[in-house]
Amino acid sequence: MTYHPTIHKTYEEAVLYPKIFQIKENLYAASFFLMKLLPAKFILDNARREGRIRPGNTVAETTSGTFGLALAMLCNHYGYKCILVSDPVLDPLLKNRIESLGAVVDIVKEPAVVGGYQRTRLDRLKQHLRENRESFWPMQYQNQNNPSSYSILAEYLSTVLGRIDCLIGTVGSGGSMCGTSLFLRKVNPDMKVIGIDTTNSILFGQPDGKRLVRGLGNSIMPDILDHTVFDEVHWLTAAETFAATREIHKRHGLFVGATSGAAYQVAKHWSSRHPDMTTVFICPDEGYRYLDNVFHDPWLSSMGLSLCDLPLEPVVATSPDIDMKQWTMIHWNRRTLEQVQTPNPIGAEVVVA
Amino acid sequence: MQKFSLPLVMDGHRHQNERNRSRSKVPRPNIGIGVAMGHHGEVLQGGVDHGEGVKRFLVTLPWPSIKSRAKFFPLQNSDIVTEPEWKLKSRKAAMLTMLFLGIENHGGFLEVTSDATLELGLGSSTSDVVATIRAVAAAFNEELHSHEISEIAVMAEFASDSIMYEEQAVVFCQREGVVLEALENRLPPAFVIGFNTSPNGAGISTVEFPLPAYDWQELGSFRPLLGAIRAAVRMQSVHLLGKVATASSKINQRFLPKPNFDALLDLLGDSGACGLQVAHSGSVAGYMFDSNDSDLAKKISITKRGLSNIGINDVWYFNTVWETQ
Repeated sequence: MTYHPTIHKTYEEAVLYPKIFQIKENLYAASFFLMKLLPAKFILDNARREGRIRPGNTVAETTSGTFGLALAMLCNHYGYKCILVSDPVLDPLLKNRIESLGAVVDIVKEPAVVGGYQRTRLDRLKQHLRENRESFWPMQYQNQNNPSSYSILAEYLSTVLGRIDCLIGTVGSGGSMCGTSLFLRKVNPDMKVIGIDTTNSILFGQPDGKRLVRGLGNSIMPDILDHTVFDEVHWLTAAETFAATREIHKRHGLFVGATSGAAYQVAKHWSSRHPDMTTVFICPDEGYRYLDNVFHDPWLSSMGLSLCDLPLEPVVATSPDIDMKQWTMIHWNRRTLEQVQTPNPIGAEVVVA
Repeated sequence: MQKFSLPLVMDGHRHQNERNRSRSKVPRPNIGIGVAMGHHGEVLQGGVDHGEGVKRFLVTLPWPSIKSRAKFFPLQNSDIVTEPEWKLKSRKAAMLTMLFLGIENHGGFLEVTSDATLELGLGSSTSDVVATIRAVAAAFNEELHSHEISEIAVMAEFASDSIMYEEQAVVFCQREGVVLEALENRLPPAFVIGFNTSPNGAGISTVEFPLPAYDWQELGSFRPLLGAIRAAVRMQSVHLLGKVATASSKINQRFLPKPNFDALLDLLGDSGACGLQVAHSGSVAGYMFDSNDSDLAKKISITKRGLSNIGINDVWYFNTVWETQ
């Protein structure tokens, strides 16, 4: 066993890189404490270097997830004020934690008639930016520094694993999957990239709707999501995602969040069908936020979910605009969303990986 | 003798030298001999920004069968006379080495020969310079560390490659002459088919060639390439090293384009080579192979024919393995 004694100077540096677990011969989990620290730190560091922000200034963002936690942690350390605009779905435990770091959480109460909560949140955010003269908006959905920050992850994965043949992970902003694959493909241009969405998310062409799984999917299209990096796109239902999250904990001891469970389910399937390919899946956060829901049977029952046996195979679809009752996939073949939504009937290429 | 003031970066070493090396020792007129191996461009060259601006680096592909040899005969109160006369960087390196060692009032006769010919489009200046530094040090019964040699070399020629590091591969800052990162081992052994991408190309001087202005995507790309070269060295995988070399060649195409590059990439696929490496500030390139590949003979034949089809008929072969001197 090799032993690397390391003393970290700051907490965020100690947890910036994922732990790499070998799940089986050709399958590795890259498990983060809080993946969003990577883009948040990169964005703030660059803004500071460019002179766009200095201690005492305000960082304001609209978020209901872990990007907000990452910003709150970093702002607290760097000496920035932090305002996070969110809506009532914000997990109250996460809210407590963010507020204990000194950040202000501003919850909008009413969804806008057009544009829902996203619209109201954006309007409120702009109000804060106007009121705080010297303020900085990280813009995680539009900022090129979000995908760019994942060159750091690509370097880490390459150092530890060498050549990587397949990268699997969930998509929310597109930052982690688009950024990591852009950079890893410089080493291995043939690397397969598999994105995972949840049903009722518009990211890959599903109709918008109520979603139970947090941390992936979206109701608005992030500018930084590049659909053409994906070879396959999979959708999992909430029940399947939660069952897989419980399974990776029980079988491998990895106590991770629901997005990690979704990635695990697809990665298990892919890696067993491609035993010669080194496959990595990304686990973006730990399981603590999910103790009173995904890991809590009465909550699952109250949502009408039962942890059924997971399907062994996805249903293979050709269009994303269908009612998905179970795990479904499309051979995306690095096409744009438009190309997938309006396939050319004559030249339609079906490539089965 | 021309007066040199030592740059600040060397001060630490100079003090150390003054402590450790006897300056009172009167050097006996002793012919010093130095040898250095050549290189065949790089497997990786780029930049990385860790928050303090872009640091330029390269990882040299050694060409052990090509050597520079230097002989130095020190003479008191003499100028340095160099043979051939035009090897001015070697002359400067000899002066700097004596200055570094604290030797005063000496010059001498310096003879430098190199296997690398200018027709290869491949400068041998770093090899000449390193051989010279070793020869001068030997003449005064001194032995210099690789990091001392690299600092002197960079002062003699502004930018250098890293062939003075023979024990292990290094990620080398060619402008500062310092090691950014020492890799765990030597590069994995490769069999290389080398050629000149522009048959009349005499190579481009590293000094004249402007620093590439890498964009954010290129800068980001060098991170996983550094990661992959660490893994390639640790795993001794020439296959992975080849992928790094190919990627670096592709990025460099925007800054110092090689003629027929697309055809060269096609041939990479057809030949079954592990990678295509280039001299990032020169005109040579090489296909890298796994020397243990049982199909190597066939692959060499395909490569040679493919190169001939695009008008490249002069090729050379070498292994990147060497014995420590």
